Amino acid sequence: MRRKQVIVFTAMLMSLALAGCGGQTSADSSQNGSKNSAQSGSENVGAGDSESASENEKTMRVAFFWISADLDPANDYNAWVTSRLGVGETLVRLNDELKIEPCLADEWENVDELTWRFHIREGAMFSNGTPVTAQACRASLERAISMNDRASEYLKVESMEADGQELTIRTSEPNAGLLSNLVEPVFDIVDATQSEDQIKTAPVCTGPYKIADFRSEQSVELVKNENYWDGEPGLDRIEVTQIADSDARAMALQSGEIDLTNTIDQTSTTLFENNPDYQVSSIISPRVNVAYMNHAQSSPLHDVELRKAVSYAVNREAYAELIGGSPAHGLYSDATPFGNETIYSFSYDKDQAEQILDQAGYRDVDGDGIREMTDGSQMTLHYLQAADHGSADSAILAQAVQSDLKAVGIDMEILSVENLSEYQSQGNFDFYTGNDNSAPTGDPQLWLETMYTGLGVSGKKNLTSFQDDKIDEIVAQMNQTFDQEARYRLASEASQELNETAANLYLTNSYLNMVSSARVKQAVQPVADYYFITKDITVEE
Amino acid sequence: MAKYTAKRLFQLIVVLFGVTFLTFMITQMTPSDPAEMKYVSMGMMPSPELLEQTRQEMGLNDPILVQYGRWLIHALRGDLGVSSKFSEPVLTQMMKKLPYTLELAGVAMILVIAVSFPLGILSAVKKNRVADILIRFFSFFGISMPNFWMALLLMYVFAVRLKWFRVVSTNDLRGIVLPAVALSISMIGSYTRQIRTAFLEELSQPYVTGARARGIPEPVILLCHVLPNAIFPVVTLIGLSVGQLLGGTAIIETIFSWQGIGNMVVEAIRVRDYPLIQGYVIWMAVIYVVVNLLVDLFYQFCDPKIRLNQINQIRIKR
Repeated sequence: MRRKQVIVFTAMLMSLALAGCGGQTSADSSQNGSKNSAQSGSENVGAGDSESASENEKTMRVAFFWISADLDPANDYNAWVTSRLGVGETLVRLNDELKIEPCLADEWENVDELTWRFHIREGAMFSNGTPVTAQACRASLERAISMNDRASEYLKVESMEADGQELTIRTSEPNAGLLSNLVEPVFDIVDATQSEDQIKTAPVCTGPYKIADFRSEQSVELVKNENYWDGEPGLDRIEVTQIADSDARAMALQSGEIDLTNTIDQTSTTLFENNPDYQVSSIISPRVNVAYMNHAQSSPLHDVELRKAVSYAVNREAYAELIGGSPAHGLYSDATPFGNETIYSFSYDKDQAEQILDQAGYRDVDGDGIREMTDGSQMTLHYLQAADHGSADSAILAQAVQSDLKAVGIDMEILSVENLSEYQSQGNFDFYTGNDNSAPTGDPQLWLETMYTGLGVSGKKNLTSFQDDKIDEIVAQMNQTFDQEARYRLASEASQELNETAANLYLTNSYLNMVSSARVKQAVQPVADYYFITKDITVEE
Repeated sequence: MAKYTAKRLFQLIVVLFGVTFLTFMITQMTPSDPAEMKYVSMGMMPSPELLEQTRQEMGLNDPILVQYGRWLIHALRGDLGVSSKFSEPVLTQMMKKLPYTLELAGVAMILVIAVSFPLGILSAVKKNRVADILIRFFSFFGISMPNFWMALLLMYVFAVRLKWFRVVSTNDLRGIVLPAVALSISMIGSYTRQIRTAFLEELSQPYVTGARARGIPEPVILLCHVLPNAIFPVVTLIGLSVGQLLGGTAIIETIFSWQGIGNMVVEAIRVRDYPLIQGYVIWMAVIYVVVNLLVDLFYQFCDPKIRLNQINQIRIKR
């Protein structure tokens, strides 16, 4: 009898296990139905399998930290993925000095305050062989604007006209940032005559590579675009896999499963530096690690003297060593051409910090080694820390700031939160952490306006109750200033003003890196982090 | 038995009502606004007008009971709504991820049972001998290791150094081994200890002494006499673990790039994707109720003590 029961029990376990396998099989077959090539594609990813495809075919395996749920460039931030894949291209693009370069448009002209004229490159073709005309660009831009709020806000388009290769854009108000904003991948030119479903899984664009297969949030298979307008792409086939975890990406590189990846944590890059089997390309990026300070009445940091003291108390040089990167000088990263070298910025000066605190009346009245508020009440600053872009850096920085502040007698508590925006919108903080792209489109206005003014819809991200008439004035001037260099000068004025009022703790400019195995050539980390795979990247055996 | 099962399945309906209602209320109590999160998660900063319009469209301005009622009516028709994060029907989204979770949970559970039973039995039989001490040491070790650390360690040793497996999990037998092992190690630790305790308890029972006195070979005593008795507490544990595993494991899924349901739900919670959270909650409720039912049925079926108890109760009632 008992033996029978054991058998029954075993049978139950087996059926449970089989239920697991059964579900799998059905899902697999359903996927096979629509995506036959997917299976073989993903199996190619194995170590050493790349040669098996074809003797002469040049292939590479890449890991991204994120592959979007669909590939429609107009949807969400998907275009950052299509752009990184080397599939999508915009009318103009950013070079590594963050300056505008021709791409699909080879010439442009700012006719008057409200009118921009672009000449679309002759001979440029979509990957399906259709010529890229002004009409095609117009259709693609209009599609993006109608589908994505970011797109409509960046361009402020009143109307567009297409005539042969001439595209004329009229804006509803002077928009001096239009040219720069057009580099945002959301303006990737896509063949809008495709069906919506096609655009979601295999958008036809103009970049060096085209989509051969796509698995939502998992993998993309790219093949060379034979119709590419700017020379021959360096590879025949690229397998891109999503690996969200930075350590797992590093290990996939070590095990030889992938040839190239990016955004490896600083602590892991030492594994690949000075190692002949790998190459590391790292640059100072436009991203800045910031501890935003709350300017609202409710926060002690409302007092500019306290903000100044805190700004002197933090050792940016040491932080840069700790997490990689360089000490930040202000609002904009040193990677931007916005005149950081001309501004005055804070440097580590503990004595100065203590002196300011003493003079402003933040003294240790009860002798516990911790300074009190000017009225003698307890002072504890609250620092909200959230993991940003899956990196440990923000936690490391928070602790470093905490220990530096303690050294000058300021008590700070770190609160690790998962949902930062909730706390932000309640205004319930003194500091909050940020790793922000200070020049998302290579132009200074967008970021300044977004974070430091209450102007327009963009001002919504100003969560620190920051208000400064001079900054509002500079943003208003930027709206009317069409000359690039003059805009940069305004940007440095803004940086200077923000440093004078110790607006926030600008801590470090972060590194962006690309790590590849030795067989990969020409893999160079671009400054703008929505570029990745280029036509130049190739492999040599 | 059929009547009992029917009663339990009816209870499932009550549980589903309760659980979905509670989750609905709790998610509503969280401070952030799904309409806003919908845009923030796409990297947009919506204007107040747009937010208001979206709230209207999403029906967020109605009283909460109306919202729940509307959701319920649709759910009863088999329509769990559209995920705001993935812009896809909740069912479609879940059906994409569930097979992966089922597969991983199944393999991990088989591993746990296949390893912990022999180890637990060996440990009990060789009590306080070298084998027992070693097994106890390793089960403690397994329990204390955080599974993400174990995952990275396994990955480093077996994928990077030895190259037996891949860092990027593929959807085949070779791809599933590492994530399944990483998941099962701490469970193997606790199961081994549980089985050891249960066995030791049974081994001190008079029927074992009796069996030994009758000259029945030791393996037969262990497998045919002790095991069926010792198995019951472990089955309860298995029921709980199966529920836990089928709920997905976000950390392991992230590290091994496994497309399971754990990651999906963490993301859904982050962006306040109510329909998807509700879908997940239904799934979890069904699993726990069904697994518990199976465990209870197993007891009913296999353990005469429980059957007798029930018969007695019925008699007392009469």
